[in-house]
Amino acid sequence: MALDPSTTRYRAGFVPATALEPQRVRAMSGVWDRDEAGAFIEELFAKHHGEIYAYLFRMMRDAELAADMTQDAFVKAYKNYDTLEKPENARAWLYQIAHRVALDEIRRRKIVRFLPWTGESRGSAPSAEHLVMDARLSGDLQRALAKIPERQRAALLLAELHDLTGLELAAALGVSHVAARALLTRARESLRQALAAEREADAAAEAARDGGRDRNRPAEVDR
Amino acid sequence: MTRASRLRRRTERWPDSHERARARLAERLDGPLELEESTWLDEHMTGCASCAAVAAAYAADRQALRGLRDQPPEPPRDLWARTAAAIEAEGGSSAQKRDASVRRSLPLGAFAGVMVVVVMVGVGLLTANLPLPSGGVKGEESPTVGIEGGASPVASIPTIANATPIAVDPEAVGYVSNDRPGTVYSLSVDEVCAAGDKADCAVREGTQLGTLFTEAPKTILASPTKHKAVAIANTAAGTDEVMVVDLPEATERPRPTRTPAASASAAPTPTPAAPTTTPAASASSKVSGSPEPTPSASAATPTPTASIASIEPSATPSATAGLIAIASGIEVVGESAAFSPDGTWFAFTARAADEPKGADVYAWRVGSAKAVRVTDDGASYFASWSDNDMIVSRPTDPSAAKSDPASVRVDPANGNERDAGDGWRPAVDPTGKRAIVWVGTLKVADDGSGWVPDKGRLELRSWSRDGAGRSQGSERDRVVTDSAPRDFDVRWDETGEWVAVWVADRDDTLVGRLTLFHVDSEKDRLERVDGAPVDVRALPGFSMGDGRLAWATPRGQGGEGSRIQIAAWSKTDVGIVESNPGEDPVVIR
Repeated sequence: MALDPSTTRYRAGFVPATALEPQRVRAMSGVWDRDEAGAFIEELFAKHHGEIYAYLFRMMRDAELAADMTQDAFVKAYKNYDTLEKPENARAWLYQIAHRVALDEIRRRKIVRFLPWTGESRGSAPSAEHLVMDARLSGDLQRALAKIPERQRAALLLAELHDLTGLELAAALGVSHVAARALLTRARESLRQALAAEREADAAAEAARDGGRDRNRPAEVDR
Repeated sequence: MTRASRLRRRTERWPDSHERARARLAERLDGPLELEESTWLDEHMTGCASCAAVAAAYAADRQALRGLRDQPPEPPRDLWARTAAAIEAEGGSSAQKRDASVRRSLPLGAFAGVMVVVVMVGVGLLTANLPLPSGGVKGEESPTVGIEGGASPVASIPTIANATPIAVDPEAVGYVSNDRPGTVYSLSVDEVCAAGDKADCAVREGTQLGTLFTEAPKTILASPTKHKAVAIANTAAGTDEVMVVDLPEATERPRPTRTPAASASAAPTPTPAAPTTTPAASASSKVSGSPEPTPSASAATPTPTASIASIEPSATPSATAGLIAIASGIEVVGESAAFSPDGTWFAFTARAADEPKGADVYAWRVGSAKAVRVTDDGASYFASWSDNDMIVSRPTDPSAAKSDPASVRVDPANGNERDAGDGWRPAVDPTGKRAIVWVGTLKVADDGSGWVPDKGRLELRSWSRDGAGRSQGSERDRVVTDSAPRDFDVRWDETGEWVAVWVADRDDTLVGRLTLFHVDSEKDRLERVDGAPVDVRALPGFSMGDGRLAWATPRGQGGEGSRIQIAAWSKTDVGIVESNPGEDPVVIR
């Protein structure tokens, strides 16, 4: 069997395409100083890895995955060191990279139809911290967050939990200032509606517990 | 007011004033409104109770969100070590090197026990040639497709209206699941759904074929004829047993098995197959010329599945008709076990459980009583078959902690070896022209359990009888991974045009990432086709061939079972379907 290149859609390149990819070529060609970049990234890591990890964890609900993605984000930051124009923008720049890593992963997961962001843990037992976290995050808010579109979720998390405002938020989301604010506005409304739906579903499930099964979500029907 | 905001406002058409108010309320949380809007909103709010409720909800939601700050998730302690190592692997700065050695590695839980390998003979199993109604018309009932517990009548066309399924050659994938412990199921697929489409293929439900085990084995590999399989199971003694089993034949299943009642009645006992007739028929068509022994043993048993079903793998399988233990008291290593292309041999890597020796390669000639150990240096790993020779890899300096690898070509019949280059565990394609191979160095695993990649790359290379050569493709078109995997598994389809690569996770070899590549044979490069799985999380042990890649997903959150996911391709497209969640499904490879 032969693929017909004229009709087959290939994904560009071997590495999942990101907007940052072209810089890799420059990095490889040694345009910038590797030691300088390495030292700078190490410093950035020390300052910001906790919040970057927290952001990715909150986006994906999976501790191990968030760790992988944090690593990925800092490697990308290293490779794209030359795209950072001013050191004072480093934090927003890091968030922008992490945000792209997250969107990329989410896109992949949609392709294979994994259950979204429900935080399947990778075999290992969740830590006590995560259990506490889950307890806090669990329930309606977590499910509602998981249901709103990922860009809106990102906007909400970055604004409310990571203190990005104005131009920083726009830079992290990779959109204009006006678009970032509009996204946030839509996100608040989406979350409100999603939370309301969750509460309704809770009530309905409560009622159904007496009456019968059925929750028109076939894949989740009890086995 | 700026020109831009005038323009913007003019284009805003609010369906009603409440909607406008909601938007402004949300907006106001993130900064002051323009005076005009602010005034309008205040006026509106004075007479709008529902808007006040929305405002309260926004404020409450914000508070709830901010409440999440109190418990920031804690990143793993080795995150910098991992990141620094990854940066270093990018050709990065020496500043990172001091931490690079801190990478954590966990014990190989999967390989800790001793395994028994059992070969099953008799019932005719599964994977690829699970029969679909020949000349089956789309829409004709398919024996294997069901949704939602089989409650609704299902044709092979997904019932979701907006699905845009991709038709693929009808083939089935077999798996063993503990839904009914140790039972073999088949999952027929003749169409899949494009990735990226919102379209949703119906979730598939497997069809029971028969119960072979008391519980699902760790690994099960079908022979090229699909009539027999080798199963590897962990016994009560903690060792592995390798067994040969017969696979149940899907063709023998009564066609209209879509109703739950039918499958329920079929469940406890093996399927109502008529083993005396069909096996013969199918044997003549499929096994003619096959070197596999004719199932005289199983033929003597009227219902081979029944006798097999009663066998405990942890008991003494060799004593039982239909189940032949070809190796026991060993510990099977890694995921590379495979039948030879002609189906006459089966090779795997194992450690003897009763002596402190390392890994050696075992070969079983189909039809013989026992697998035979072919190497004795305690550091040999079966890589793949090339023609009908085994490719075996080992460190050049097994007494050191780090080493370069070397590969040899071994004739399974006499153990004669000849050099096959310096790659580690080359997975040779069916044309013998290419291989995916670890090019780099090896080290002893941190837990001392054996040799694993250290520094280098898993990549596509040209292949010849002398071993791996150069590839013309650029680096980015041939490298699968440049981080040293604890284990990997590479399987080509029978055309050599598609290859699937599973790479174990860094800390846990029981889970990994699976990617399907198309191989551009002219340019010698790996291509990721739109819609094909890329780095999807998968349990070890996938099946590849007949236009399909099937794997099991890790168990989901909240106790949801694993799913079988199947990627299938036509000449132009790749798509995916999946099964309902089940208990510990193991794909028959």
